[in-house]
Amino acid sequence: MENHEKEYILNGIKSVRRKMNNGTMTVYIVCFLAIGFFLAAIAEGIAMVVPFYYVHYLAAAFVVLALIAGIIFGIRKFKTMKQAALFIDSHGMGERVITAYESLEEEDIVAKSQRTDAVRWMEAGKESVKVPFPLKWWQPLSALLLMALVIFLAAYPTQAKMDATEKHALKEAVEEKEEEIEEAIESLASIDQESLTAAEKEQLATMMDSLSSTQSELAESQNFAQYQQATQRLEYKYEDMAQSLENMAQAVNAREAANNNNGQDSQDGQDGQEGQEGQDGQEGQDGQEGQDGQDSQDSQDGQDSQDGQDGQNQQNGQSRTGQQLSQASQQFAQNAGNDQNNSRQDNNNMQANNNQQGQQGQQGQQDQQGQQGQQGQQGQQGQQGQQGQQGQQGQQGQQGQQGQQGQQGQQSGEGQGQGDEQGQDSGGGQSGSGRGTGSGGAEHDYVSLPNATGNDDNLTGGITGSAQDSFRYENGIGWEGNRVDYQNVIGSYGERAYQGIENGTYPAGMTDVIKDYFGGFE
Amino acid sequence: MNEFEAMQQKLMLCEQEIGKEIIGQRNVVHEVMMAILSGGNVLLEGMPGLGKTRLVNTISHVLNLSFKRIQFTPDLMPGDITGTNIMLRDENGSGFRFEPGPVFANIILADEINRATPKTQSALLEAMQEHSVTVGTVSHKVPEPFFVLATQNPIEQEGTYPLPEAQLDRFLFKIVVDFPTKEELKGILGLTENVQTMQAQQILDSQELEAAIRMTKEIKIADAVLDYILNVVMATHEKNVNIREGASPRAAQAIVRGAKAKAFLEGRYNVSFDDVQSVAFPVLRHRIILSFDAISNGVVEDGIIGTLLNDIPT
Repeated sequence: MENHEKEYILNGIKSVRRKMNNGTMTVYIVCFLAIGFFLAAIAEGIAMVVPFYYVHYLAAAFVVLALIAGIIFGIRKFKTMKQAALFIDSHGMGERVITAYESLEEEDIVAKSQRTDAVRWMEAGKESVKVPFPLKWWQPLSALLLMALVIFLAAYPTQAKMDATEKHALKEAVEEKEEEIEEAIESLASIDQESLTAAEKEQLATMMDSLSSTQSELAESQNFAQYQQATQRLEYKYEDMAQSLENMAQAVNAREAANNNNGQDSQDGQDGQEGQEGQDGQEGQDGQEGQDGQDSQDSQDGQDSQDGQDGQNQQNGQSRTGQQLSQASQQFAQNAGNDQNNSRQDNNNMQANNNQQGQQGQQGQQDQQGQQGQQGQQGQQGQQGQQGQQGQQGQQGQQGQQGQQGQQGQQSGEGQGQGDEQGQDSGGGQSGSGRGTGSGGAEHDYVSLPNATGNDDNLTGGITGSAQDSFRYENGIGWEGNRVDYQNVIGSYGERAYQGIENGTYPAGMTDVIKDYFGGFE
Repeated sequence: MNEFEAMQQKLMLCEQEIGKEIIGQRNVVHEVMMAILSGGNVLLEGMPGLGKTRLVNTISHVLNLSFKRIQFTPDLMPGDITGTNIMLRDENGSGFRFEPGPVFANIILADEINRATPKTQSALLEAMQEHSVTVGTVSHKVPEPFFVLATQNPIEQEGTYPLPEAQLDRFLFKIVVDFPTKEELKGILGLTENVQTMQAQQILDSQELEAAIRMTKEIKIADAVLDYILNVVMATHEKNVNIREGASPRAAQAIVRGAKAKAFLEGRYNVSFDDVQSVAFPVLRHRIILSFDAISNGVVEDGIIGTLLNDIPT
């Protein structure tokens, strides 16, 4: 009986307390949600005139924080058991319930009698104890109206919102590109420069400075047009740098190989001649394969070959610096390819400019592929693949082959002095250099444009592989099989370059380089 | 029925018996009974002829307590109240013997207490507070239970000696005896002028009354109610243009004891806010000292107390 009375009192108080707390919590949540929606509406309203991409997140944060605050405040305002007991007592119970609750643990006669008295009164007044729901009708209505306002403001399109979206996309693209440039700079900085000449070191430093300037230029882009211009300049730089790095790698490798093979002159010279001759038989084919875009499988093959014969590579003169330069070159070439694709996707309006860049890219690509094809059956990654082959061939003479590479590079597209330089460098290293020197030292009387079918009389070698991946652009000054006067070629390209400088097509940092380049031909 | 309920019924019966001889004045009777159950002294203030003496006499009869009445006059001496040592001479020699004064009774009616000098008034102080009387170097215990019910006339203030605050604070309640209504007055006339009068019966004795006093102390009081009492007392010390001095801590004790007695008298086992509000008037009205502004503006103590109670949330 006593326990029943205690339980009855406790349950009665708990029931009332739960109802009171539910009401309190509801009021606080609704009121705070209304405040949150109000703040969200203000934020959305401001975002209609002031570009702010994250306004929806901010508005949602306001609402969520308001909800959390409402819950916290509601919990803090929870009624205690004593408050609930006093509430029951306020219905004419004469403080019997609160007194009974406070003396629940007492067992004297007065406490028991008082408890019994309290239970009797609670039972009698059970119907009269009504817990009012404290929520006023206008409170949820206000919250709902404010929520509807927030949704409307969030969904209503304005110019400021579109600007915010565009700026955000631009920011993300710039950040991505800056990260890419950062990686490129790091890859350049990580190159071991001990084996490089002063000119090569300076060239590397210039590359890094140039990339840094593009990075700054990207960071200052205010719209997509500026961003695309900067990206296109970056593509050009990537391509140019990839070519320069590849050439630098070959030069370094040649020097290293020369040093390593210094004591094997006679035999090496003969082998080099043989290697050159063997290579000759493959030149046409290799060049064609280069134009066809020798795929990654070939590259992988070359890589595999290198992996299996590292020791021989070392013997063949493949230096660490050369590898780093080659890898950097590949990275830059890949970046350029990515940039090109991205650029095409970003804006078709840049097509004209892309075409110009594409021409250069084509030349660079053809040249690179020509080299790779020349480097034999190892394909795209040629430099490494070449080393693998050479490792298998033993003492056949890498230098002679590289001298031929210089010639082939000239034939495959860009030419213009690079081949000459490579030829001379290679020739200096090995006995097979005579041919390279002869080609490199020839007069610039004409330029031979490779024929797609490979039947140009000026090209040697055969046709192998499919031509389905070849690039054929008609935006050059001639077409396949034509012979164009060298001065016309230089003049045409130089004219375009100077015009581009005047139009601001190229980054400011590159104008002097361009002028020097074309000025050297005059 | 437990002993509490039995005692509660007897106390209710006491009030009924007192009502046989005291027409009207139910609140006065109720408050006097509350003071007695609280073990406190009462100051009755009212016009002459309102039945104050008869009330005290009837209560002492119903409760079967010894009763002495002392008429306070300006020439009343302390020894006239407390008693004195008198010289005895017999065959064994001579000596002193203490002759108890009228203060040695269960209920003392100090009639028109403000007419005696402060020295004589203070003779009651020790008895009221310590329930003992010291004559010479010997202290004598007064019989228990001991109550002092003093009366004073609110008019005819000339030649009176208003009770000092220290002595006023020793009265648990100050009960105002109002003039009876016409119906009550008619009942008084019928009671006193008719030949056959109803006589109040004796209900309790002194032991039962002491048990009732003990039971009263056991009545429960919740913390919230206790806080309310403290808030009320503290409110008398807050800045108030009508109050010069607030109630003493003894006022809070008096409210608790009075509220418990009220609850017990009404058959409950716990104190309610209503009990507190009810006893706040007789407890505080002689403990609040009005400011000059209040006196000049005709503000009375009960008005201030009522305002305080309304302003303090339960």
